[in-house]
Amino acid sequence: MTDKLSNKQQKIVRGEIQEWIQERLIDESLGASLLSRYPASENKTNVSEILTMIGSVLVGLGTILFIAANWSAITVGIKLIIIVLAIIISHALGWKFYFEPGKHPRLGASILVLASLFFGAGIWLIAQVFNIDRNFSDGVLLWAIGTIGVTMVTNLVPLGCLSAILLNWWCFSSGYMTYGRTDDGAGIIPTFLVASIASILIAAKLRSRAVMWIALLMGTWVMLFQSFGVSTPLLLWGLALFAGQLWCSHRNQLFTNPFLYVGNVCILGALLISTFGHARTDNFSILQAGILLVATLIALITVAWKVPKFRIEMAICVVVAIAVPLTYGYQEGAHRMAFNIFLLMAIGGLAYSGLNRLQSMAVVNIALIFFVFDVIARYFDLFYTTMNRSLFFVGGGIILMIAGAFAERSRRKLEQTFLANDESTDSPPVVEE
Amino acid sequence: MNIQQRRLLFIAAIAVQLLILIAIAIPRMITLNHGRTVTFETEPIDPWDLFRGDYVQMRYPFSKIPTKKDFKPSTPVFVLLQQDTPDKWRAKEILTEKPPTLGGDLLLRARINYSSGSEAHVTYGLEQVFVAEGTGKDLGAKDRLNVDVVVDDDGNAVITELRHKDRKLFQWKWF
Repeated sequence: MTDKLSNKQQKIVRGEIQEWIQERLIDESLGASLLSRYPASENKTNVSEILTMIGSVLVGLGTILFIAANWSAITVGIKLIIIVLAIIISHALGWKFYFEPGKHPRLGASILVLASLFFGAGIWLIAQVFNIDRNFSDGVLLWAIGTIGVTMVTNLVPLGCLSAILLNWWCFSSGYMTYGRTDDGAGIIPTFLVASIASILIAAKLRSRAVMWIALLMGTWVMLFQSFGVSTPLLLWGLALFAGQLWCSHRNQLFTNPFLYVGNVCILGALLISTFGHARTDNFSILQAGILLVATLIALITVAWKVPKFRIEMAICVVVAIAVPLTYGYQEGAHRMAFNIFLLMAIGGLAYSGLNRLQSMAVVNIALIFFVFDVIARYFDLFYTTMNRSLFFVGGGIILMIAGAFAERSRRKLEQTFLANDESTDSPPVVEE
Repeated sequence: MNIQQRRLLFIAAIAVQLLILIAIAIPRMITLNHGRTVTFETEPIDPWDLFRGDYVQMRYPFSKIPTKKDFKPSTPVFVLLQQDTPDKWRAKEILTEKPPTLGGDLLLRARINYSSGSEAHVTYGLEQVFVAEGTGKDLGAKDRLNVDVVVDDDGNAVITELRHKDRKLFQWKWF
C-alpha cells in the first residue's frame, strides 16, 4: 500500500490508467488493481467544516460580549452560573454530536472547540469578578491545562491546535511578564521547554501535522524574540529540530517535513542574522543559554545513539552548538567573520548532506536559498555606502540574476544526481518530500 | 479505549475545567467572608473598553510610593498602608516579604510597574471596576470616588462597592 494521493494526483493517475486500458497496454482488472493501490485521500478540511468552526468562534465571541455588555446588571452568582452552564452544556452537546452514531461529527467538533473557548472566557470573567491581579500567563496556562485534558480524550485536531497555541502563548506571555528580569534567573527557558515538548507530544498523540506545524512555528516565534545571546536561542532550537528531522525520517516520516523546513530555516536564519554584527551581549545569560544548550545536546546525543547512521550529522551539530555561544565576547569584526564562516560551512554541510546522505531535495533547496540570501547580504554590506546608487542597483540586479541562474542550474544538477542514484540503487530515499 | 471509558474520561476532563475555575474563585471568597472592610479615596483616569463596555480605571494615592529601593518590573511586593483619615491612606513601607505583624496598619499585595530608585509605581489589581453602560463616561479626572475594599491578613483584596458622592456605581452582590 502506498501513501494516499491528493485529489489532484488521484485524477492524474486515474486518467493515465484509463489511457493504458484504452491503448490495451493493460486489461481492466489490472487497471482496477492498480487504482486500488492509490486510495483517494480523505478530504480533511472542507467548506462546511470551516464554516461550522468559524460559526462556533462567532457564537463564543457573541456570548462573551453579551455577558460583558450586561456586566453590571448581572450579579456575581448569575455570572458564575452562566459560565458553568455554558461550559457543561457546550461540552455535552459537542459529545452528543461528535461521538454518537448518526449525528454530525463536524458540528460536534466545532461545539467542542466552542466549549474550550467558553472555558477560557470563564477564567478571565472570574478573575475580573474577584479583582484577581492574575499574572496573565497563569490564566493562559490554566486554559491550556483544561483544553489539553479534553483534547487527549477526544483526539480532536482543532482542539490540539488550540492547545499548542495556548501552551506557546503561555510561554511567550510569561516571558513578557519577566521582561527586564531575565538576567537574574533561568528566564522563560524552562517554560519554553515544557510548552514545546508538550505541544510536540500532543501532535504525536493526535498524529497531526497541523498541530506539529503550529508547535514548531510558535516555538520559533518564542525563540526569535528572546533577548539573550542574539540568535543563539534560535540556532539551538534549529539544531534540536534538525535532530528531530533525522529521527522522524528514520522512525515516523509523517512529521519529517515540519521538522525539516522549520529546523533548517532556523539554523541558517540564526547564522545569517549573526553575520550582520548587531551583537547585543548585554542581556546574554549564561544560565538561560546553558539550559537550552543542555536540552539541545540531549536531543542530538539521543538521535546519535538511537540512529547510528546519522552520527556524523549529530557530531557536527554538537560541535556547532558548543562553539557558537563561545564566540560571544569577541570584537564586532571577529564576531561577524566567525559567523560568516559558520554560515558558509553550514550551507555547504547541509547541501552535501542533503545530496549524499539524506537524499533530500528540500534540504538542498533551503541551503541554496540561504546561499543566495548571503550573497545579497554581503553585497549590501560591502557596496551600499561606497558605490554610486545607480551602479549599486544595477550591480545588485545582475548579482541576483546570476545567483538565481546558478541556484536553478545547481538544483537541476542535483535532481539529475538523485535520479541517477535512484536508478543505481534499490534502496529508497531516506527522506521523501 | 471503548466509548464508556472515553465518556468517563471526558467527564473527568470537564470536571478538571470546573475545578480550575473554582480554585481561582475560592481564595477570594474566603477573603470576602473573613476580611476587613476599608474605604479608599481614588480618582478615575480612563472610562471605557471596546469589548467590555464602561469601566472605571482608577489611580490610588498610594500607587506611587517613595522608596530608595530599586525593584525590577513585575516583582510581587507587599505595601504597608497607614490610615490618616477614614478614607485617606498613605503608603508607609514597601516590602518584598510579608511582615510578621501588622499592628493597626493594612497590608496590600501589589506588583511593581516600574521603579526609578527614588519611587516605585505599583498596581494592586484594584485599578478597574465595570459599571453600568453609560456611567463610566460621565466621570472626569477631577471627580473623587470612594471604593470599599475587603482585605484579608495576607493582603488579598476584593472591591465590594464604588461610589461617586451619593451615587452607587458598583456593588458586589451574590444575587
